[in-house]
Amino acid sequence: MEQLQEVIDHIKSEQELSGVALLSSDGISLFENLPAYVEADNFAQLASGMMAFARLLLLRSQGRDSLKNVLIHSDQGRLCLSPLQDGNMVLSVLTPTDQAEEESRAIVGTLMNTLDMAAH
Amino acid sequence: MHDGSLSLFPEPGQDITAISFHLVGCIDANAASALEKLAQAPLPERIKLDFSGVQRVNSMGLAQLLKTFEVLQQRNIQVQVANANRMIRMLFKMTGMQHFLQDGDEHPVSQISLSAGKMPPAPTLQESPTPAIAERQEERLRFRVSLQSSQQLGGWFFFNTYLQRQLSRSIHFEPSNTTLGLVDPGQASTGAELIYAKPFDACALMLGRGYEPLMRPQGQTDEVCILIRADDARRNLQAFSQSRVATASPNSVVYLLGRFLLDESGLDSSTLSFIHSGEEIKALQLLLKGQVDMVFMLSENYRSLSSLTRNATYLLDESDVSFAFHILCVAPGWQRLRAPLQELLPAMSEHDKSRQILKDMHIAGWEPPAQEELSMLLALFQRYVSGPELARFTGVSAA
Repeated sequence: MEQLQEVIDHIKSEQELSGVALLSSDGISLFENLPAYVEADNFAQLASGMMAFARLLLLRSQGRDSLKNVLIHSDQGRLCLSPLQDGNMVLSVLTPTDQAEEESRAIVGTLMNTLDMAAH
Repeated sequence: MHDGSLSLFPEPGQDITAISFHLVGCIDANAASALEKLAQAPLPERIKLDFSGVQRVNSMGLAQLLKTFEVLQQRNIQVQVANANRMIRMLFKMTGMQHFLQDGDEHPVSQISLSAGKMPPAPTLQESPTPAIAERQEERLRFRVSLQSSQQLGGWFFFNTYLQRQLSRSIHFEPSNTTLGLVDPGQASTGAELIYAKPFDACALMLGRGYEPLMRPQGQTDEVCILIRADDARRNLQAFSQSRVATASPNSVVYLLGRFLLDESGLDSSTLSFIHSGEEIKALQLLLKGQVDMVFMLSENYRSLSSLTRNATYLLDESDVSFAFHILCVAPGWQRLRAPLQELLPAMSEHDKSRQILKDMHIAGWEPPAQEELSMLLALFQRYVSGPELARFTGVSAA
């Protein structure tokens, strides 16, 4: 499992991401490389809560809960939350403002595949 | 086959100054008539109640028992309870009734020993020591919810929307994961009009701020799970002497139940060191990181953990006392909310749409708490949280 931390550290610096965290779906931070101003435990709780909320919203609005990702845009950048391992984990990626959305999506996709394989 | 209601069977004996009864069934609200008959029956100076056939005692049942024992004591009849199971013994000790237990000293209560006290009456608005939060007809209400986990956020949000529609007023939803009782008492004037609180926080709000109890989740009580890491080879409590335990708050039913459960299992809880992490999920994180050996956690929260987290832990023990519960409280001065909510909330389980909201909140329905249950809970709160701690917790001086 230490391999997962290495993957996170490597991709974060390689792709110049602001932060990456792998969480359990109930909000426990498993591996993280987050900016100093982010408190990992609180972030994990909020991110997992947001995923649960988004899933519920999707269920209510579209009658299904097969959620691909949740994207939150702000002036400071983007937060992308994606389910992993049948929804048991949540990948959270913070991207900088100057990164194009398509580029962020591609990075998140690659990261998901890599982590999914490493977690198995 | 026995239907679960309480039955008492006298057992023949040689001693004319004593009589034994074998009790079978559950001691709950339905036990009142059987216990009343016992209290009024012609009896010798000593009675022994054999609890080996009693499956469980809940808070309503404990209140009935206490009432019966008081009547018997007034009649100068000595009562002794024998063969109570572990949970019932724990309940007796928690509520200061251990002197009725024949084997009460087998696992003595450690430093959380509670002093016996008269049960306080349930609070009423007239007894409120704090001024009412002024009604603000035009402003929106505030609804603070002590979330048991972040996964419940969506359900409570939908519930808030449902309330707004049904009450035709704007309600601001304030989810909270912090212990409400630790809010600075000076901030009382900023209190929410509706609060869904943990058992002891609700007691603090009722006793210290004059909040009124309105509803409780149907059939849902606060129980404690004692968890260790799955890779910890120790599999019995006695092996955890001198260990480190993490739990969310020292002023909680979970902490109290956890300690009594340890004591009742023969592990002196005063030998352990406790870390109070603020939130249960943080306590769990300390466990998984190896910084503590054990965690006390609300059973409800444990059940809602992901399989990933659950597989990393091992459930060592769990309480089953049916004593404490979360409470939906309304602020003093907001009596006008009572009647519509008393009508609205219990009916939620009768309609498909509102039933879905309840499901998302992880509760079966709403029901008003019984007076006896509240009295027992308040008695426990006052017995446990006393002196300066009570003043700090409720914002008022201890009586």
